[in-house]
Amino acid sequence: MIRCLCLSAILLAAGAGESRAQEAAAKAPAAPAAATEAQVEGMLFFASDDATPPAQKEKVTVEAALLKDTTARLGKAFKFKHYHLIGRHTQKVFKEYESWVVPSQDLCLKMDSRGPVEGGVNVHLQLWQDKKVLVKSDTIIRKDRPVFLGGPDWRGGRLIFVVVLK
Amino acid sequence: MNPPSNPLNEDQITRWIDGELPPKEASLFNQRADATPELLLQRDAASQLGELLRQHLPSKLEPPSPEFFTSSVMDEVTRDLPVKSATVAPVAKFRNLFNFLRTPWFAPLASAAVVAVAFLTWNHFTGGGAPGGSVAATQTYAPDPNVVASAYYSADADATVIDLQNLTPVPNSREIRAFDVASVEPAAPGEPVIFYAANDSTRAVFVLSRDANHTPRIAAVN
Repeated sequence: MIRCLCLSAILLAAGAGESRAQEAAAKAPAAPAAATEAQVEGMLFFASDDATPPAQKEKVTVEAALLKDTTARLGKAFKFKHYHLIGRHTQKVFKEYESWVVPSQDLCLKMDSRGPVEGGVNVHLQLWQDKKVLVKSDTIIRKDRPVFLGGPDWRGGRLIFVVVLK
Repeated sequence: MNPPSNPLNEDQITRWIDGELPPKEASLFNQRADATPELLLQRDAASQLGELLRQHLPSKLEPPSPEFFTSSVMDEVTRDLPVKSATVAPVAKFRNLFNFLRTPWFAPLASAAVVAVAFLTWNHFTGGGAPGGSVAATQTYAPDPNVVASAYYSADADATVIDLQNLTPVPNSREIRAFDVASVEPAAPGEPVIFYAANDSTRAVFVLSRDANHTPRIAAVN
């Protein structure tokens, strides 16, 4: 009986936390603008040999030139016939704070700036899937040189996270 | 507390120099130090050393990522290792060389050296293809020991590739929820980060919050 009551209390607390998040989501953002190092375009691609893109509730688009350039580069680095853009997030990279690039709930990227370098930004990346860090990396993102993160397989293809410095 | 006639205690001396003795004990110690010039000299030397350290070292050092610290140190050690050639008389040099070739450990050592040279040559080639040398600076670490993470520069794609193998596949039945998301500002401490749709700044799509272990949790807003 006591165990049941405890469980109910935990579930209620979790539900309250969720609803607080939902309430917060309903409010307009009021955070002050933070100093930025750069801006990145984070794109989630589904690489597949199937020309049919996966069904999605929301159509995601990006500038045609960027899409063409990125898919052509992906084709040279990975061996798939088609690269379907399924998520996109344009995000500032903050100087003092962590930045999250979240084109999808399923695969997202945490970025910490380590300062500018010639033609780019030195960053610490963490690719997250749910509550798990898949990889941590210290790298430099330069203009015109994207970073491709080859992620998990899905539906006979593969999820690939792309970060481009804008 | 030791009476002044007791022999000096190393711990007490250190605490006295650092100014950590209680006032009463410090007063007694000062009286005794006045009569012991060596103690005063020792204190002055420590004080000068402390001043020099404060002047020349930053007050705060931010450590690099712990995962990469060891490898970075090893990189620096191997890069800065001095190479010194020995000068030997010509005849003695050839004699020594042949003797060296006969040693039993020469064959495995030579094999290892060939492998190392081949690896360094390959590494230099792949890194050299990247103008700006960013790939040499790319280091990866996969916390899951089953996952193999490799970073390389793809000259064809002109991109840095971080390839993860042996990941658990996403179940085919799972729908990947993805959107076109706008940039957000950092949230206040303890508050969730709310991500809005790029085409509608009032429509929240994701909420990033932290659990009790500070692990991030991303939830889609319906």
